[in-house]
Amino acid sequence: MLETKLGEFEEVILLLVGILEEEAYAYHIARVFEDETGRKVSIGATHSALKRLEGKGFLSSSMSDPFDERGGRRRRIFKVTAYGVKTLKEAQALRVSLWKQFPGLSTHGI
Amino acid sequence: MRNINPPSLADRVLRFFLKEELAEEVTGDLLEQFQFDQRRYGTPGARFHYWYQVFNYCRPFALKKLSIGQKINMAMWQHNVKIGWRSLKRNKYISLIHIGGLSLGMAIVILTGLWIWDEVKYDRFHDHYHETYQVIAHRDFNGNIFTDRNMVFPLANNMVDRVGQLKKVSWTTHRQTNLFSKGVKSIQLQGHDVGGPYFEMFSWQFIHGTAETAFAQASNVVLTKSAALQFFGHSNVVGETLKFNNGDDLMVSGVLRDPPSQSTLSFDYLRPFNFSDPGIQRLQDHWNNYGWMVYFQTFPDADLDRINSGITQIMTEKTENAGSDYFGFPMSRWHLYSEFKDGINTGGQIRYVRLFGLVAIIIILIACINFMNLSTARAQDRSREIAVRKTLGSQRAQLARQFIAEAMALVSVSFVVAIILVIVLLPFFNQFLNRQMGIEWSSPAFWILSLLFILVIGLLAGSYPALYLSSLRPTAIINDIFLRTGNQLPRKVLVVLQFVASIGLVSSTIYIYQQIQFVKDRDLGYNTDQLLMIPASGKINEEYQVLRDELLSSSYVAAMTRNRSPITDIWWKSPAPDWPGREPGSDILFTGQTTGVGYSETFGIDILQGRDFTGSVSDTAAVLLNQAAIDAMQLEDPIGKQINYVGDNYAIIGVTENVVMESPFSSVEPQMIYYSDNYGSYVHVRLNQGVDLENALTYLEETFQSVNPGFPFEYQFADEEFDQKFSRESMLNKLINILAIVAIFICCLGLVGLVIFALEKRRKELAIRTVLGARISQLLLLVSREFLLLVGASFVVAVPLTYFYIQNWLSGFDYRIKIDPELFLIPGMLTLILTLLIVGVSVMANARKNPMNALKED
Repeated sequence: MLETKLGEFEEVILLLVGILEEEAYAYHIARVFEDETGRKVSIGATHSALKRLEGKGFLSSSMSDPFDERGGRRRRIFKVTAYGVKTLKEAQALRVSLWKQFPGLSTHGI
Repeated sequence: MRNINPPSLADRVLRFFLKEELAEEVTGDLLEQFQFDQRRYGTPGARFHYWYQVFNYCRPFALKKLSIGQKINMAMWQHNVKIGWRSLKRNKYISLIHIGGLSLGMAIVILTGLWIWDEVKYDRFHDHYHETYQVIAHRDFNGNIFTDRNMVFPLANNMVDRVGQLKKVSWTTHRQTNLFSKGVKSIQLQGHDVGGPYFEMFSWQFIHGTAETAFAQASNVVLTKSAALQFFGHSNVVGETLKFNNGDDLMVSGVLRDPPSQSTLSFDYLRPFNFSDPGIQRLQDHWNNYGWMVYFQTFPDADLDRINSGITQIMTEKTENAGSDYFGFPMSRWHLYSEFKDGINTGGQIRYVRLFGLVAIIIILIACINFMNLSTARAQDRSREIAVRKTLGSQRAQLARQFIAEAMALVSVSFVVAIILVIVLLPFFNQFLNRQMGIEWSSPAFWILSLLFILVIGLLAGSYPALYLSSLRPTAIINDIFLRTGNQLPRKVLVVLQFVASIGLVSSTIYIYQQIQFVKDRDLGYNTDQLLMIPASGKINEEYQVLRDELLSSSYVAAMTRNRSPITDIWWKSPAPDWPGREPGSDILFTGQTTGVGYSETFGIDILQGRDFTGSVSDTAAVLLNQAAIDAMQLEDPIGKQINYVGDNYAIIGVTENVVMESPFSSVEPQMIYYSDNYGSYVHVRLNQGVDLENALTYLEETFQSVNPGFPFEYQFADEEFDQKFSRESMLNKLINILAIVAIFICCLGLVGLVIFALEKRRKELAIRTVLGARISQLLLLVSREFLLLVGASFVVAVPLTYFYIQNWLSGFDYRIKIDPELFLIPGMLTLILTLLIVGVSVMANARKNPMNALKED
């Protein structure tokens, strides 16, 4: 059986990193997460998930240029790695295949 | 953008635990969030949210690695354990003192903690604990405020209609004693008549029957389980009938679990008000008859001030008496804060909770100081070990950790011993205090508290040796410099503290005992010997004349009378009557009593001026006043003057001496005594001197039974009832005695340890002196001088502290001793003698050894 290696929260975070591109840093991801899902999440929890995903090799990160509104501090910008993209696709493929096997739902599939 | 920064304390907390490498990105993110929140919530909300975000960074990935974690080295720890154990074994007696003293102190603290817990738990079993209140009133008599729980009958229903935010209101009678019978078995039970949704407000548990149907009919009664068992032998008795006061039949509609021991309210039975009874119906618009307890339950978040003023408004409208302030007294304060004086809550039981808490803390401090002293002394013994460790590269923090760990281990062992001690002592303690306390083994709170306790005590006890000894320079230790010149002051301060606490406790014991004796020996104004108090139940009032003629004709009874309240209590308080020359607007709080003929004779009360009631017709318009009343009214030549009480005129016919009826610790209030020839709730009987008590009581019982059949003969002796008033103070005295002994004992243990170490340290010096011909007395002086100085210093510190505290305690009593400073010499001498004894015995034991042994070492 195919392992997705991704929890639901992790998957959303991974997708958000991909969507936000150059703006993908912990605070911003947390805010967009809130806007998109309507669920509250702390920066700490988001950061923790990002670190975990980075540890698994789905994300890479680098420091940005300094920003004035952050008191001259830099941001840590995350990027989805090729391995991360592959894992996301696998996760989606698994879902699609399961959706298709679900009688009565398959016509409304993805 | 606004220029307000996030809370700096939160920032510091964050930096404390956050990994260095994450600091930049995290603080940046949090700042952006803060600015966003400021726009969204405003500054206070944003600051709050900032804290929330900071705490959410307490995650494993973000935490700094703890430095200890990395450096744990198993071999090193094994080594430390071994060295610690050896050092314990080397000084067996000292170790015993070490652990024993701390265990004893801990056991005392645990026992006190259990008692405090028991006190705090009072009434908490009620589901609506936080929303339930009793209506009470501050009644102002010209600045003399007394606090009254008696309310008028119609208040409760009017509150329901007119005061908002109330969920439920109910009201009850005082606890009354009534006779219940089943066949030939008659038992007096105590209980309340109840109105309103009582069972919805108080969480009494039904074993049989239900709360909804319990008061379906006016002839219902709800019994407690133990009351049901007394009559029927089992508790499933719903539907059974009992005869009430030899009259109507009542049907048992429910059986309740007995109210727990931690309940302010207690009863054997409950029954509903009978609203079809004309007497009760009349009460429904009686606004000047006070005698009911009113309880209410609010909605959550109700505004108590509005409720209070609502109640006060009802009472002001319905009665002319505008001087009363009504308010809800929360259930959480019923037990611990039950006392009021001059309209201010003065606490009550909470004073004792605080007092014993304080004493327990003092004792555990003494034990901790002991522990610190002995640890330090022992560590000095181990100074070479420390020096070697340091020379070999031990860091200060490592040594400190070693000492803390050793202290923790010892404290843990002591804790186990303490728990065993508590288990052994608890049954005695329970018996002594009349409680059913137990350790709640299954409660997580107990274990968390125990763990915290061990941690705190371990840190406290281990901190001084850990910080002080680990700071020493190894060369200084090796050269023995610190043994000779080292800073002894901290240890001396600790010893002085110990002595201060002991002297303070012992002198408190003496003064508390003195105060209780002083009050016990107080002239009460009447004679308590051979005086019986008999409740006037059933037909006693109707048949009083017959009873009186019969009793007085016997050889047993010297005199008798009947009164509104028993001689050991006051049931009537009221504004002052009017008297000639009264300044307009002035008011005095009076107590009241009624009596039949034979007042002074029965009680042995002196009539200072005028005469006692004789039963003449004019006596119904006459009054006796006590001396306190004459003083308060500033009446000169009172006999024959008229006073006016509630519209009627009474002539003052006599002045009695002041009689202590309520608390013997308070001064006697002004009292008026009226003549009542047809009613009393208590009959007082004075027996002849020297009668055989057993025969007298048999005779009284037979006579009372013959005029009042069906009611058991009940009586109390006035002297026994009076002694009850000391029960709390006597208990306090006993407990403080025990605690003082424990404190002294722990203190002595510590002293023994210190003396042994002092001798050990100077053994070469002492040996040389012995060899050179010093006498034991000279050695004794040499060694004891240091300790005697410490005792002296402690005495000087302890006396003013204790004086202040005792003065403060005594100020709670109107009738009190003057502090006799000479009595401080007793604990002073006691400490001095104990110190000399301990030093003396140790020096003697030391002197008997061959001095050569000491000199040969090293």
